[in-house]
Amino acid sequence: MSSEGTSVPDLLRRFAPAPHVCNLFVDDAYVRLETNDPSIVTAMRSAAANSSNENGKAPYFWKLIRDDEAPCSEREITILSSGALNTLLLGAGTTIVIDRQQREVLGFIAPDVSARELVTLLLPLITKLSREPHPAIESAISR
Amino acid sequence: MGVTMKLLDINAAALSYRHTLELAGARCELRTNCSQLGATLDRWSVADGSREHKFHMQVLVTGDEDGAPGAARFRGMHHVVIAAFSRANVFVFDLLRRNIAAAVSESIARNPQFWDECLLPIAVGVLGATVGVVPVHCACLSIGDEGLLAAGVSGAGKSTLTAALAQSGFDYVSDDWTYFSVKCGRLVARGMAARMKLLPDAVSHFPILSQHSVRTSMNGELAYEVPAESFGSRVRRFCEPRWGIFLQRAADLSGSEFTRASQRQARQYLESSVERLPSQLGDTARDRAEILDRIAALPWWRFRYSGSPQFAAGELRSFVARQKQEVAV
Repeated sequence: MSSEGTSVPDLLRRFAPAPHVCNLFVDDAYVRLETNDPSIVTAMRSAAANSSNENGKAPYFWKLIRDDEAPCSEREITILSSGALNTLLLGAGTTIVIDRQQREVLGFIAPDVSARELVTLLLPLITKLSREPHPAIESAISR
Repeated sequence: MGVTMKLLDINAAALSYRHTLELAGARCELRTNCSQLGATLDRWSVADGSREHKFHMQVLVTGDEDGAPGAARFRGMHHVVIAAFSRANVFVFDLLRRNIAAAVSESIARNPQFWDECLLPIAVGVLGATVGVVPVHCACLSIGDEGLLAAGVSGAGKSTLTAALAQSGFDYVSDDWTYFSVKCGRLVARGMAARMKLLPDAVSHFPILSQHSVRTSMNGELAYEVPAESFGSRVRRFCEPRWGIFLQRAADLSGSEFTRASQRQARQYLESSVERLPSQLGDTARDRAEILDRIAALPWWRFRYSGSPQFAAGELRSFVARQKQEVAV
């Protein structure tokens, strides 16, 4: 039994609607992106090729929610690497979880991170964390 | 934009300290790089034994310090929940793999109040039915092995009634959240908090509280937090729930009254105290529903009362005695 649809408040914002959808090729991976922020779709389209997944590869599912209640704070990036999960934190407000086994990228983006910053600063990290265990990331970061 | 970057590798094999914790009946394997954390969590430690670990927790203690942790900021999607207390204290819950990965500061590793009153109840609450446990917002007291559940909206008098019942011979299991599971086919209720929390005005009913100080609890509320034993009660870790009551203060009433509540009403209340689950956790939702059905199937009563918590406790004590007598007959 699922309790979706009850009047219980969604404190975790698990059910935040993400009506803006696009399909993209990001670094050779087919991605279905769902978001509540149309500017993220626009920025991602400018950084990646549109795709209809003609080659039939298993898609990556990305859901990025613009989180207006998230705190805006310092710009330190922290990556927590544990098993199949990599968690990318930008300050205290932006959190993105990359699950390599489930092929999912699930994130909440703070208001002070623009769609352009998401693409220029975080997208390269997300794509690397989607593919590789953390030591490769470390070298990617230091380059 | 100047951005600094830090990589924290929370690799179980590299976390050399290993402990087994028992949390609301669920065994957890803790791995950490910090010997102090084991001492902080000593209250929850059990011998390793042969029982399986229901979940795993890897805690990397870093050298970062950023002050006392504030209230957690929770976010979740699909099978993942993140609790960020501050930049240096972050917990990632993976409900599919029943795993918690965390980075915490040294001061948090040395803070039993944080773990006992905040993080560990949250961990069991978030993982919930994935580890066979369903948390419900109600108090639980027992006579012998038989438990009485007390539910009610905020202000209904749940905490003061719990204290009064503890004074009147009931054993204390929990005063706010009760954790349910099924063991050997039987419903079991457990508590995690050893201290009872009472708001400052409770001192008018319980003069013993004047021997304690009001302090700021983990949720920011000013309250007395006192061991249940202060009320002359024994603390029981678990019991088998037999009855449930919905508390309701009734200023228009002289005395008290009990009316039977339906299973549907009980189920509605229980649903209101659990988190919605996404479709990715369909099996967990089904497991949780089975436990909620069993709780709702208990005999539930609506208990309206006026007067002091001690008066209400006396009425409930008589009520439980009558119920036990009816079963015996």
